[in-house]
Amino acid sequence: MIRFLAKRLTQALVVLLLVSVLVFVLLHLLPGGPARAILGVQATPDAVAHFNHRQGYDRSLPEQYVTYLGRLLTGDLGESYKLNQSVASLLAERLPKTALLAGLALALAAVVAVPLGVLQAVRRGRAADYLLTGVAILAYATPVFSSAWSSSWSSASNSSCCRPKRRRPTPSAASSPRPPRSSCPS
Amino acid sequence: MGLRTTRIRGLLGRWAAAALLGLPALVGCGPAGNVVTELGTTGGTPVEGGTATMALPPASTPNWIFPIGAPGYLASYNSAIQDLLFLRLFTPAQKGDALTMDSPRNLAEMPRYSDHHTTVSITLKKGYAWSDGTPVTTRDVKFWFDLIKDNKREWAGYSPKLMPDDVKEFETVDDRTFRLRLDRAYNPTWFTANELQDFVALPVHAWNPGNESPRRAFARLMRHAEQFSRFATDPLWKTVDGPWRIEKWTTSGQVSLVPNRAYRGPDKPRLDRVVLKPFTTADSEFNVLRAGGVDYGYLPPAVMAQSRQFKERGYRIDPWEGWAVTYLVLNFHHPTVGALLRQDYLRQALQHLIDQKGISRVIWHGSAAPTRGPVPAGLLDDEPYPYDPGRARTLLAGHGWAERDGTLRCVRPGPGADRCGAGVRGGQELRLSLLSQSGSTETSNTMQAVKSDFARAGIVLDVRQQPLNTVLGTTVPCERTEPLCAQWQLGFFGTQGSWYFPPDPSGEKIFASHAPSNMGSWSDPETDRLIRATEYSADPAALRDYGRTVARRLPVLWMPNPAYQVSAIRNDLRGVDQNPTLSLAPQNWYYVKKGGAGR
Repeated sequence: MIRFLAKRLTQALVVLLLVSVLVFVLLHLLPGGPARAILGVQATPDAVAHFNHRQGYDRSLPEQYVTYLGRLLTGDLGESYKLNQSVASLLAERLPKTALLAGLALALAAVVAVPLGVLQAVRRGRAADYLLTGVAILAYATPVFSSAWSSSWSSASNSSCCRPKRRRPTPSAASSPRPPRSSCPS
Repeated sequence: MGLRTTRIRGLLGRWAAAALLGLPALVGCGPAGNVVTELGTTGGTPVEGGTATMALPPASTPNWIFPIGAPGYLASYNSAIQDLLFLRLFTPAQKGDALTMDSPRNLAEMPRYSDHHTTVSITLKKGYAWSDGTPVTTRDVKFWFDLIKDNKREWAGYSPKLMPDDVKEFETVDDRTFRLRLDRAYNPTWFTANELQDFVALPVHAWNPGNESPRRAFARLMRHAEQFSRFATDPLWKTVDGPWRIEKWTTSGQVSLVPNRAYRGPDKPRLDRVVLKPFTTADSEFNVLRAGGVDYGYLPPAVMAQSRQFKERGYRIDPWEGWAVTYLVLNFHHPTVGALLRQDYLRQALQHLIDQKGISRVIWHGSAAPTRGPVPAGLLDDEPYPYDPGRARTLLAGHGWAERDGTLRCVRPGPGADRCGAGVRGGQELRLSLLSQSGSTETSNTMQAVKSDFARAGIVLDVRQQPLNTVLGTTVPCERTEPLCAQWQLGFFGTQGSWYFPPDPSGEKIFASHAPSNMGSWSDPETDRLIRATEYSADPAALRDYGRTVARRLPVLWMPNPAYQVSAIRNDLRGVDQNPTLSLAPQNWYYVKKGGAGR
């Protein structure tokens, strides 16, 4: 058993290493390079060279790959220029919400799917079985953007808090110059 | 069972209704929605206070607060916010079609030039103070100058030979006056607009209380500037001299500004709060605008046809013209077509084949305007080479091009007035390849229109679309022998304007020989002479002469210049000035309510 696990683990490591090489090579094959993309059309050649030096793009490819792998293994995923933060901190910030959503979705799926599956098994070949199979196929076939919109519409139509209200046409007092806004989250 | 069936039927019915109602929304035929105000664009009584929410451009996340922008953080939305917190000594204000640096928002009086324009004396205006009560003095300006001088390679605004290299000495005269000794004589208009516009006062008493060296102080300040999540809470950024201070700055880039009650300038804020809201795409912004979620938003060009609905709902539609030009870059060093592109008659013929007015009207729905030359269109009288396919065909035929097998080929090679020109081979096909940015329907349609018009004269244009980053990385100045030089012939990266100018729209960075952003490697002694005149001579006509002449020389092909955005602003939100340099002045914004004569 231990031998089997060790073999599989070694295979997985080799695959991961190959994937990292592939990703690294593909990123370097992209035309253009990151300097102009980040610094923009106004960047001087000096600024581009300085950027490439600071980021290590002026080193040899094997050297860059070793640095990349070393940083990856130590959990250093680099910095996001777009959001001026480390990628690790961005992931950490968003991970709890993603985990909560994924967990809730999984729990909801189990709560709904298991009883319905039992029901279909019990009533196999009858109307409920065909109906639930049809609904499941429809749900699979519906594009995500369409089902998301339909869900939000149907839940909003049941909730008075999110029904759009007509704004008052003009501000009524100097202390509250803005018309009230619909409380429906956008 | 019956009850259960009803429930299933109800659920199914609701899903079916949702799907049916969703269809029109998906195809853009949704209901117009509610009216946000019944006020028109004039009238009403001004009221104090209120919150205004402004939409930021798509994928624009404010991410830098330190007024010295690090490379990669020089975006206009960052500097627009910084300028509301830390006053610049000189800011551009619109005056007719041009810009003036004599703005009431300036921290300094207009500069005085002496010693044959080699010395500039600047006096700070009286009475300005930091939010902690400390007066703003020349020490604060000297602090900024020392920081950029000792760390110029870390400053994104640095260009060799320009600020701070062109200042030999910074002399402090007194608490409010300082003098700059320059390395040579400069055109005062150019120097004030393009060099002094960088000057900003930074609170040295709060940011460098220990009198650290500029290098150490800069490194420490940069560490603070890289802590994006602490922009609103870091005490460092709370000492401001501008009309606003930061209330919130979320890591998603939403910024809330509230008035700085200690602000001493003439334009004190009238609103209680301004919220700058980021969006990932123009479509998401449009959905929020349609739901009434922003007071000052914009319409993507694709939905310009819906502008009437927005007017009916109480918005005014106002294109925000940028201080910019848009063009197709020509690679004069390309190994095979470089010689072709260097022929004046050919560039003129190509320009005659670009229907700028038609493209602006039809494809951009009026939200773009023809570029007339190397300066913003308002500074030039007309298009030097208007759309005229007949004239283009005459020019080509007159220079030895004739149709063979459906395409134009050079039949009279060699130099000479009626020949194809030096370096053009006999039998060479008139075929060009354009590398254009992808991701914009308007740009794709524009390029197809250009291709179609070129084809009418027998010119084949192959259009390749790539992401903007790839286009920017490929269309760079190159030498004939470099492999990269063979990878592009014509380039386009102007969906949001190719080049945004500093206040004085001179061409030293784009059209001067060997200029850093002269992507096509245009080199012309007359252009260089005219550009030098705009920088160094005191001739007030220098910029006009440069604009008129280079417009005709065609260092690039002029293309329709899209507005920075087509703004949709609530009719009861007034005082909005859409400065072409993309700065913001929300301290002038105010709401009006119904009644009274208004203003």
